[in-house]
Amino acid sequence: MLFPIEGLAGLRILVAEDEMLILLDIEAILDEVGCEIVGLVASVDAALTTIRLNDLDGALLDMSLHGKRITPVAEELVARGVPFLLCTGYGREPNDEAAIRDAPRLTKPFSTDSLRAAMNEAFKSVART
Amino acid sequence: MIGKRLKRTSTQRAKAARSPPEVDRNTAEATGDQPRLGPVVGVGASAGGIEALIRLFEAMPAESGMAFLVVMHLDPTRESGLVHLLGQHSTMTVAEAADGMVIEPDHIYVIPPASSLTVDDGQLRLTEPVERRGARYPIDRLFESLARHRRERAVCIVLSGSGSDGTEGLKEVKAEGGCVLVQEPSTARFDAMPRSAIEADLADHVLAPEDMPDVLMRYARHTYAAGAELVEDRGPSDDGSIDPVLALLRTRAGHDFRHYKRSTLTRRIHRRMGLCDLHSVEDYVAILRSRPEEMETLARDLMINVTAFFRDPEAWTSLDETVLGPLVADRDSGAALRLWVPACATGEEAYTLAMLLVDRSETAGKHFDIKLFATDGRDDNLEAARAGRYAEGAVTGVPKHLLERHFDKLDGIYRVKDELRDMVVFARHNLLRDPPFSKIDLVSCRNLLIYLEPAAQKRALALMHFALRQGGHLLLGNAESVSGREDLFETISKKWRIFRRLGPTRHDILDFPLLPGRIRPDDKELAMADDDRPHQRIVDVAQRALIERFAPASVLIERNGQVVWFHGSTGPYLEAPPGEPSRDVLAMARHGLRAKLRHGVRQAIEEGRAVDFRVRIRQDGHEQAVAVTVAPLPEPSENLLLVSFRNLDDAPSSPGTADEGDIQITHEAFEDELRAARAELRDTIDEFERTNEELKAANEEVTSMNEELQSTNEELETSKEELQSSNEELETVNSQLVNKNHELVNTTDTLNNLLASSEIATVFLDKDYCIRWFSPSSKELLELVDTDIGRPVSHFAWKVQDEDLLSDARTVLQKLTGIDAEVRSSAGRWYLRRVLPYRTHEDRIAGVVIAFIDITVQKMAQDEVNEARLFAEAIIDTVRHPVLVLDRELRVQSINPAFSDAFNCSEDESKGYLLHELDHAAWDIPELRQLLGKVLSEGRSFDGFEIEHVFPNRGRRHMLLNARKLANGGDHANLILLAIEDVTERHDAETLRQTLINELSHRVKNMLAMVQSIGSQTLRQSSTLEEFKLAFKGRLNSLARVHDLLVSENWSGADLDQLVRRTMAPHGMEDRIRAEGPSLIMAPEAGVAMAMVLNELATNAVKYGALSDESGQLEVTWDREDRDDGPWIHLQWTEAAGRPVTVPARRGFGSTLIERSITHQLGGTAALNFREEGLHCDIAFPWHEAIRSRSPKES
Repeated sequence: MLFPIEGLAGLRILVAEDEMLILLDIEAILDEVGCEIVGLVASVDAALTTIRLNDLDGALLDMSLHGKRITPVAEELVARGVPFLLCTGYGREPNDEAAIRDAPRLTKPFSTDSLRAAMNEAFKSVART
Repeated sequence: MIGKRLKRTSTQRAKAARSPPEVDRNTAEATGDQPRLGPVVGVGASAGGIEALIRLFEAMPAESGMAFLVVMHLDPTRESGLVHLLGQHSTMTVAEAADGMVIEPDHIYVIPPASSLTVDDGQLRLTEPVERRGARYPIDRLFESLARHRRERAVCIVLSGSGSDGTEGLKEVKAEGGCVLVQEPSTARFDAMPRSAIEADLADHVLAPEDMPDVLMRYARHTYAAGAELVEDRGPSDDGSIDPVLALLRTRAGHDFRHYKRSTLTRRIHRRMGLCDLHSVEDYVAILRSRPEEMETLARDLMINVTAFFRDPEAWTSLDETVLGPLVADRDSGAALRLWVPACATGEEAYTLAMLLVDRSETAGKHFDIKLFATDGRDDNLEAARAGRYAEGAVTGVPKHLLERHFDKLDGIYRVKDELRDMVVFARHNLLRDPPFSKIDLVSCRNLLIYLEPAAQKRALALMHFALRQGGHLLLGNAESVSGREDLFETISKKWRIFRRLGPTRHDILDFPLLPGRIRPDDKELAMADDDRPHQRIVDVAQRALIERFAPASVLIERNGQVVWFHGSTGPYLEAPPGEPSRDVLAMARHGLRAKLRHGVRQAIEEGRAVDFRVRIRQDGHEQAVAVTVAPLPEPSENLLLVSFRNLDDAPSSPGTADEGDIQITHEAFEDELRAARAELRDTIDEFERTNEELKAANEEVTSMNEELQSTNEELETSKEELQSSNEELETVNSQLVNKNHELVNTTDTLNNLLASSEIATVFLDKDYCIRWFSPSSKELLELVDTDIGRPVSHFAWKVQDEDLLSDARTVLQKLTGIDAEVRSSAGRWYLRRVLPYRTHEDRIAGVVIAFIDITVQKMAQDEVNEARLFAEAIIDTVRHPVLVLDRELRVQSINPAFSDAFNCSEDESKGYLLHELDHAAWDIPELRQLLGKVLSEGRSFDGFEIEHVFPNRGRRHMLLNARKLANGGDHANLILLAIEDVTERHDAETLRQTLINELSHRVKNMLAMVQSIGSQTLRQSSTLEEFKLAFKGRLNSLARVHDLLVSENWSGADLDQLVRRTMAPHGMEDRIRAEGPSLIMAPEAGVAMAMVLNELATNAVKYGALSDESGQLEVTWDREDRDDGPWIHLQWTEAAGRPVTVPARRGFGSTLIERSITHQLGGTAALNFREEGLHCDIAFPWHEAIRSRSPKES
């Protein structure tokens, strides 16, 4: 293990991803590191609902869910002070919204290790020690 | 000493009767203090004067009795060291002058700085100078005051100095009879001042300073300067003593001074004697005889006449107002004004009058033919007057504006301008001797009469009366009057001596000198031979002899009894009564005559005929019978009566000495004889009276004719002077013309050379189109030789093709404007042919000038330029890029068709508009203007400058701009060529491409992420590598298949039917598989998910299910179902008749994938039912989820 994963164990994580196969992969990795998956959502609305109903430690967000940008979700999370990681195939663009622009990113496709490392970095503020 | 003084005083008193003011002053002086003061010497010096003063005073003896007043031009701001300096070099007492100081002999008084020194009755007067600094003439002031107060005893010395100060003052000194010494210019360090005095002819002696004391001493010793003893010692007949001098002057020099005042003449002749150091008139006469130059000098001195510009300014102001003003106002413009200044001296008075007159007429806006006769007896005076050059000191009296208007300042001298000079005619003329001018408006004769004896004054006044027109004016000097001739003039201004002529012309009082001509110096011999007697004609002699022999003693009387003429011996009849002289004939009549004469005269006047009577006149105790005839004279002497006396032959009767008879007889005989004699006498008297009448008439006629002739003669003399000046003018003009001719020759040479070198073929034609002149180079175009001048130009064949030449020449002559044309010569050269009117210097048109200028080179160059321009224009017009040309204000000069097409802006709507106004301000693009400004100011060009601009009509456009400054040629220096490339389409395509690439990248990455997921999931589930390989390959193939399908459908969607069939196709076994359902198009993502689900089901069937043995059957059906929340898709996977199915112990990846895909991704339900006969899978999901497409991401 290159990176310690103890801190990530037990974190309550929301995963928003419309691509089922990728979702499965993420789910498997989260299981491995011991995160509690609060919700697996494929739409913006579902993601927002989940955020409002649950107490979250962090989130993994695809940039776009069925053609809708994730921006409202990201802004909601920023407002709540919940850290999140953007997993996307898109690069950074100049006209990205502030919540998107400033968020940490993990570029698709990613390996298990790189996801872990990215999460470790993104969620260190909420990591359980 | 005392006796002498008393004697002199009495003599002076005698003279006082003639000229009181002069003598009174001398008298006062003569009774002054001891010791007696000799001449007071004024010394004027300026630059270089100290040296001269030292030389003068070193040579001067200590006790001369003279006093010296030294005036120098001193710096007004500095102490003068002159007193000290002169004290070292003189034995006399030297003092600085102070006001009121009494002049003492053997003293030198030096002027202090910044003051004006004058004398006043033996005292010094020191005043502040009134003139501004730089225009002060202190020497003039001193000399003038010496002249006024010391008169003939004033001695003035002019020493070294620049300028002309002193000269004006010396004139006064000379006029008063003082003595003038001037330093010899060659001995003076600065000779201008001495020269000025010498040139004005004022110097009595010209000497070196050290020689002056000797002359001064002699002059002081001379009785003239010392007093009047010379005159007195001659006794009572002193006046007569100068007669020989006057006679000599009259006969030798032609100057008649008999009418001049004796006192003045005596004083001046004695002055000359003093200067010559002579003490008796006889000696002086001898000198005069032997030295003609002394004669001239004396004559000049006697005629001295002081004059100045505006002398007595108030008199001139008064004259200007009372005479000149009305005169100018009365006369019409263009009329003649005639004025006369007798004895004009050096012309100042005449010029003063002329200036006033010009000023008056200019103010009135009139122009007169002014004739101002200025006459004088002295030729040298006239010459000076004609030259009109005056020293600076002389013009101080002229008001500034008149000075500037009428004088040119030349090198310290003022010269009368020609305009004024031409108005004045100077002529030699002697008022008393020569006939006067006539019809004169104003006679200005100032300070002449004072020099004349009263009789001569009266005659001069009568002459001036004659000269004046009716109502003409006379201006006299301050001390002069018309006394004795009050009947001729009325007084206009008593104070300023202005008079007006009264009454008609009086020939009776005229006394024209009946000389055959003037005595000029040339006529001397004749004048001496005739001894001044009129030449008498023989008939006059005869008549006079007859009358004296036969005519009775007669008197001619006026009607009031005043005798105007005595003839013959009237003594027996008339005698002078005691008491005042009287001309009354009755008063003169002897005893016995008076009563009858009074009666006779009255009767003759009343009856208008001759009256005879007899009287007996008692004389010396005996009686005499006298026959008296009183006869009125015929016209024009009707107011005169002739009274004739004739003695009768009756001796006093002596009664008783003869008898009665004898007496009777004798008596009768006597009676007869007496009657006869009486008759004869009457006839004779009648005859005589007639003759007398005729003579009188003839005499009158001759007199008046003579007057006219004399006047005419005067005019002719004056004309001659004018002619001479005209001649002079002509000479001047001629020399100017000669100069001008030289200049013209030079100009002609220059012009000839210019024309020869210019190589411009030039031909001058006259109005008839004949050749006047041609330049040498025109031979190239026209076969011409010099003899062709004067031939019509149409006779020649030009070597140029120019059919319009003559018609153009005609047009030029009519319209007087030039015409240009380009013509080609037969040699192939091009010419600019220019036709211009030929203007003379009077701006008259005398023909045309044709010039051919070779422009072949320019023409070719121009053609090339034109071609290049057309070429460029063609390029601009054909390029597909819009192009426009702007000027320096960014105003559109031209556009090409591409521009009007592209921006829908025709040439009419754009040309001349400013760029930012174009197309309703569509082109108002600040950054473009800024850029073009840079192009203009810095001359930079730019290429490919990209701008994006929203046009109102055409929306957002992207353009690339190229701009160039057109810097070729002066006119195009500030034009900009702007080319526009519209790249909007390209720009949009680029944007789209970028979007697509981004999307593609995204998808590929997604796809890779999916593959990775599949890989990692499959790996997690596989127990062996073989198992992994198989599962992974199947899943990837499934993914590839659905991609193929999507690509074939252009990624628009996937048909469920096709998905099912393609999934099953690799496994074959079509006979055991039934797939049935409608064609349902799903969105790509839903298709992919569905494909994965179908692949898992098929793989499981082939591996474990119905298709894993030989007998199993598979049925896949699907359809649409309408549910409450809209249409759903319902698919059923049913396996049957295969190997018996066991529920797997562990939930596999396939199940998870199927469930998750349907529930999570498609929002539906999936139920896997491991039934014994075979697997059954029931899948349902909302239609809208399946067709919901992930549209390309919004950027």
